[in-house]
Order: sequence, then structure tokens, then C-alpha cells
Amino acid sequence: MASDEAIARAPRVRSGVAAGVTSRGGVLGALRDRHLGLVLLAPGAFTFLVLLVFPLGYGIYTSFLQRHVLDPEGIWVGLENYAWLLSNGEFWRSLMLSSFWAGATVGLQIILGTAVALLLHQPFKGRSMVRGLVLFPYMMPVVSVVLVWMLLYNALYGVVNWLLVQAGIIAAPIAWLSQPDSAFWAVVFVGVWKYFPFVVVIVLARLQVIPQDLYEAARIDGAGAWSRFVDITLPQLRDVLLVVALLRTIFMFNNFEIIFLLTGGGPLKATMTLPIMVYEQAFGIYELGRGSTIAVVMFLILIAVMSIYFAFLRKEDA
Amino acid sequence: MDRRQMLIGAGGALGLGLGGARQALAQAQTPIRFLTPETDPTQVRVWQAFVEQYGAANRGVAIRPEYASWDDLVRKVSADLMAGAPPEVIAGSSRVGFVAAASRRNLLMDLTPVVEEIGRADFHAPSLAAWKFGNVQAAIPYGMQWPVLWCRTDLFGEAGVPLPTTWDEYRAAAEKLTSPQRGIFGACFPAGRTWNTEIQAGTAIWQAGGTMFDEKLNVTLDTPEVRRAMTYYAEMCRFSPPDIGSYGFREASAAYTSGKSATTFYWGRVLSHLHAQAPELLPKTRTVHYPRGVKQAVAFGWDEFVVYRGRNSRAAMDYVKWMLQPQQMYAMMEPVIAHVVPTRNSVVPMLQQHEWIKKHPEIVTTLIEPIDFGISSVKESPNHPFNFKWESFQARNIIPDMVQRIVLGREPVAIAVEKAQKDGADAVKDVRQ
Repeated sequence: MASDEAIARAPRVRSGVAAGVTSRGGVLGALRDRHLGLVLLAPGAFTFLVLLVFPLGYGIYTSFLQRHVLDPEGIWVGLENYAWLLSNGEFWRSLMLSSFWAGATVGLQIILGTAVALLLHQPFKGRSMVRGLVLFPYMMPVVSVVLVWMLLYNALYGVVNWLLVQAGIIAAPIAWLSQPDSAFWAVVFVGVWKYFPFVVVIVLARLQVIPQDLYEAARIDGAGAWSRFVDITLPQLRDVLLVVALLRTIFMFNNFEIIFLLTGGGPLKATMTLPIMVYEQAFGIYELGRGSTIAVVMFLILIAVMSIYFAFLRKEDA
Repeated sequence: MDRRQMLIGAGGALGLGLGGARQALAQAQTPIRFLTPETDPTQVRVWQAFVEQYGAANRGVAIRPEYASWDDLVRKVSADLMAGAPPEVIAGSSRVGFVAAASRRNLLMDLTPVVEEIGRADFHAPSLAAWKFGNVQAAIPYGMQWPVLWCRTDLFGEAGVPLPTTWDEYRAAAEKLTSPQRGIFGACFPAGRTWNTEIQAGTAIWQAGGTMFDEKLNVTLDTPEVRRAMTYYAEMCRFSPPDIGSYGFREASAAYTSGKSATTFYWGRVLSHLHAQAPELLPKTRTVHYPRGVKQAVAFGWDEFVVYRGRNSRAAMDYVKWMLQPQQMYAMMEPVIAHVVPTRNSVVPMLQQHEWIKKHPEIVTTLIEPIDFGISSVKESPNHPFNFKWESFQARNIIPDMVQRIVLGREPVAIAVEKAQKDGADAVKDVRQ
């Protein structure tokens, strides 16, 4: 009977709401109600259009222009900038360098981050403090990190050279950031140092939820530490490491500030990655159209990487 | 309060807020963005004092100082131009080619009225002429400058060599002065992808009797003179600190003040750096003009005011006029005394009364006594027309890249010069006046 009463009351409730609206604003009130959702969505949609769609569209449009900084209107050149880019050896070299930079930094971040996370997962005195300290590089502003590393790498007074000379690894100090042979790896090292804590945090979080039963069972079966790591820990970390690898690849491929501040893309273009090349073209040579073209190509490459990421996520959900 | 009332309330509050803000905006001061690469701490204090003094005397105007490094200045201006909001006033860009290009596109205010109001006769006429493009006074130089060779007399004395006057003398002295074990290097030839590298290598080319462009404005890098200059430059890099591959202005000055280099090419700013950072080196320091190659030459430049067109350009011109008054001009120069020579005749006597100028004649004479061998990149000889192609050439770092290929990449000089010739010609092939 109660449900019958509820059913019987339902239309009255609905009509009551409608009546209330009508009484407050008539047809206008009803219209307002109908559009309230749109009104509430408008700020978000507006922000999305202004901050994402417009700059993206404008960047793509600019890539079809020959446009100098001092001639903001530009001339429509169609696909000419893309033809220039594809036939430009410097672009392919920068693309290779960018891929190598992203691969090396992400690979080393994952290896170092996982190793440190495993260490920090073990119980020891002062573990909480060390867990906090390990985040230090990630929290430091990039400018500070770069200044510190420039001093550490200094050819005459740098600690890195002093340590290596004292250890007998090198005979004389090396100008790490000024030599084409060493600059790339010097920059990679800073990139790894700055961002490996991100991997530590993610991996540590995952390590803490691996069921301990698995390890106990393995121990009973006589598995050693290496076997437990290879057969239990690594498979359990696999998914999270894959996500970390994809996210970090996107971030590092786009990274501009570390390289720009440390070497500016030099020496001899040994660290001229694509983001630095975009900046060089747009604000060094004032060729905004060509700069945008490189940026659009970078965008397409990252879209491809993101597609892999989302495909992976979909697979996981399924 | 139901949802509708809350939305109405929020809308009302927003309306009131915007209305109030509009009223506040209406009463706001005229903002003037002031951008400069003159960022020594003592110099920044002067800019800040100007902001306060001018603001106190002109309540309706708010000066907003911004700072950038010398190597990044034009890039920052370019980005601001793209955003449609260039700074109203720029002090000290020293990029004649870029300013000329901006003037040609009508982006700059004509500062002729400011010159006339102050009095044209009081200005150094050739300096004004250097920044006049067509009938437009695109910039007003407030200081002129040229670099010299800073020398540690104690180290020269120890090595038993005289202060150099020629390339050969300098090469011999640098070799004797270099002692990596003591952390001392005889020279400091920059090889970074920087403006300073371009200036020093360009000077070597002029000293060798070469030019970067001929009188018809064709690139002329693949010549015996340029090869000779680059051979000399590479030799001198052997006696320079090991990290010169990243050297720009700041590092070249610091190499001397830190005691790392026994010599360095630099402008007068080193004097104030020595006073602030290494006063013990002052009695051991002397400057000489650049050692000559087949001829004597040095890069001649200016620090100048430029006013970009915009809503507040008129107010910006008034501010420039105020800064060009003798007291203000002297105040700008005082922290880095002898770095530039004032372009207003009435300010020169004030400069000569400065304590450091009186106290260190062996340092400042080369910096403030007029010279007749200065060369500008945009006009490499009296027979050259104004080089409107220079900016494109310079923007592509043709000279620094050539130096890097030779010094860091160990490429043979002939091949590096040939490649620079090709790159330079490509850089300017489409540039039209």
C-alpha cells in the first residue's frame, strides 16, 4: 500500500515543483531551469575553448604561415613549412636527440626510482625522514637545480671534477657542459636526478599494497631474494611501471627548461632537442611559422604516445 | 538559501565586483613597462630609485621595471611583440639591426622631438646618426662603448712579458701565463653560442683585415683574412679556461675578477665588478686596447633608449626625456662608471669627477678617451651602406657556430669557414630592404 501511495504522490510532487517554478517566474523561469545546466557548464567550456582549443588551433594555423616576429600578419604558404621541416637534417637530428633524451632519462629514472623505492620499502631507523628527503630534488625549483648543477659541473671548481680526479677516474677536469661529447649525458644526469623521486613515490605506493602472503609462500618454497624480486615484485609492479614510463616519456619529451638553462641547446647543438629547436626558430630566428610547424609535429608525436597510453588503460579496464 | 537564490546572489556579487573594478581601473595610473638588460645590482638600485623619483613627481604614471639578460633580451621583446604588448621603453638593447627592422615596420616612436627638446647640439652627433633610419630617430643612445683588454700586471711581471700590443705578443704572453695547475689561464676567448663570442670573433676578423659582408652586402666569410682570424682565435682558445664553450658576457668578466684568467676582453663594467668582488686586484690591473692584427679595430656599440608604439608611448617618451637629463644620466652611469661614455657633452665633466676615474687612470683611460678605430657590425667601413641583412645573419648565430665548430668540434678552419659562408649566404638570401 505504501508503494501505491508513493506512486500516487509522485505526479503531485513533480507538478508541485513545476507549479512552484511557474509561480516564481512563469515561462521564463521554466526556460531558466532548462538552461541552468548550460549556464553552469559555460565557464568550464569557455575556459576549455580559450585555454586549449584556441591556442592549439592558432598554433596549427600559424604553422601554415611564413610569419616574422616583426610582421605579425604573415603570409599563407600552405604546406611549405612542413616540406621544409621534413627535408631539414637538423630536425631529424633533433627528433633523434629528443627521443634519445626521453628514452635515456625515463629509463634511468625508472631503474633508479625503483631501486630507491625498494630500499625505502625495507624497515630501518629513520626511514620516514629518508622518504621525505628523497623527494627533495623533485620539490626544488628547476632554476635552483640548474644553478646547483652548473656549480657542481664547473670545470675548475666543481665538486664532480674534484671527486672524479681524486678517485683517479679522470686525469684532468672536464668541461662537462661545454664539450659536445659530455654535454648530453651531463644534462641527462640532471634530468634523472630531478625527476626520479616521482617514480619512487609511485612505486613505493604500489609496493605497500603487494600482499605479503605471496612473499611468505615463496619463502616457504625456498625462493631467494632475487627470485622473489623477479617472480613477485616485478610482475606486481609491471602495470604501474608501464603507466609511469608513458607519463614520464610525455613529460620528458616536452621538457624544455632543464636543457635550455643548462646548455641552451649547445655546444655544437649537442643538446638541441625539439622544444629548444621550436624556441630557436620562433624567438631566435624570428620564424614563427616554422617554429609552430615543429610544435605541431611534436604534438602529433605525443598524440601517438598518448594513444598507446589510453589503449593500455582501456585494456586494463577490460 | 536554495540553488537559484545562491546563483542570483553570486551573480550580483560578481556584477558589483566588476563594477567596482571598472571604477578602480578608471582611476588607475598610466603604466609604463621598462625593460633593460642592465642588471648589475647597483644598476638595478638606480632603476628602482628612478621609479620612485619619477612616480613621486608624476602621480599619474607608474613605471614597471623588467629585467632580462643581454642574450635573451631580443627574444623577450620578440615574444612580447607577438603577444601585441611590447614594453614601452627599452634601455640598452644595443641591437642596431633589430631596432632598424622594427623602425622600418613602424613599430617604434620617432624620438626626434625628445632630441630637439633636450638640445641636439649637446649630443654626440655620430651616435645620434647611427640610430637614425630614414627620417626616424629610432633610438637615442645615452652611452657609447668599446671593449678593451684587461690585464693582470702582477702575472705579466712574474712571467717577464710586456702587456701585448700585437697578436704575436699576445699569443706568446698567453702561452707563458697559462698554468692549469695553478688554475690560471693567459687568455679568455669565449666560444659559447653567445653574442660575446660573435663580438670577439668579429673583431678578430676585422683585425685580420677581413669583413663579414662586402660593400654590396654579400657575405664574405670564405676569405684568407677570415681563415687567418679564426686560426688565431682557435690558438688563443688553447690558453683560455676549459669551459669557454659556454662563455658569454658574464662568464668572460667573472673569469677575470675571479682570478681565473690573466686577461680578458671586456667593457668598462669590470671596474665596478673588481671594486665589488675583488678589490685586491685593482692595483694589479691595467687595460690596453686590443692587440692589433694587420690593423687595429674594435667593436663599437651603444646603450640606447627605444620607445615602442602603444597606448602609453607619449608618457614613455616623457620618461625617456626625464632619464636623459644630466643628473639622471650620470646616476645611470655611476654604478658602472667607465662602462660607457655619455653621449651628452654636458655629462662628460661629471663623469670625470668620479673618484674611481681619478684614482685609476691606468684602467679608465682606454675606456673613456675617444678612439678612431671602432667598427659597427651594421657598417663595417665608411664605404659600406647600412647593413639591413645583419639582423638575420646575427639571429642565426653564424659566427658563434663557426667558432664552436673550430674550437669545440675540432673542425679544420677552412671547412668551418666554408660552411659558415654557405650558412650566412642562406640566412640572408631572402632578406629585402
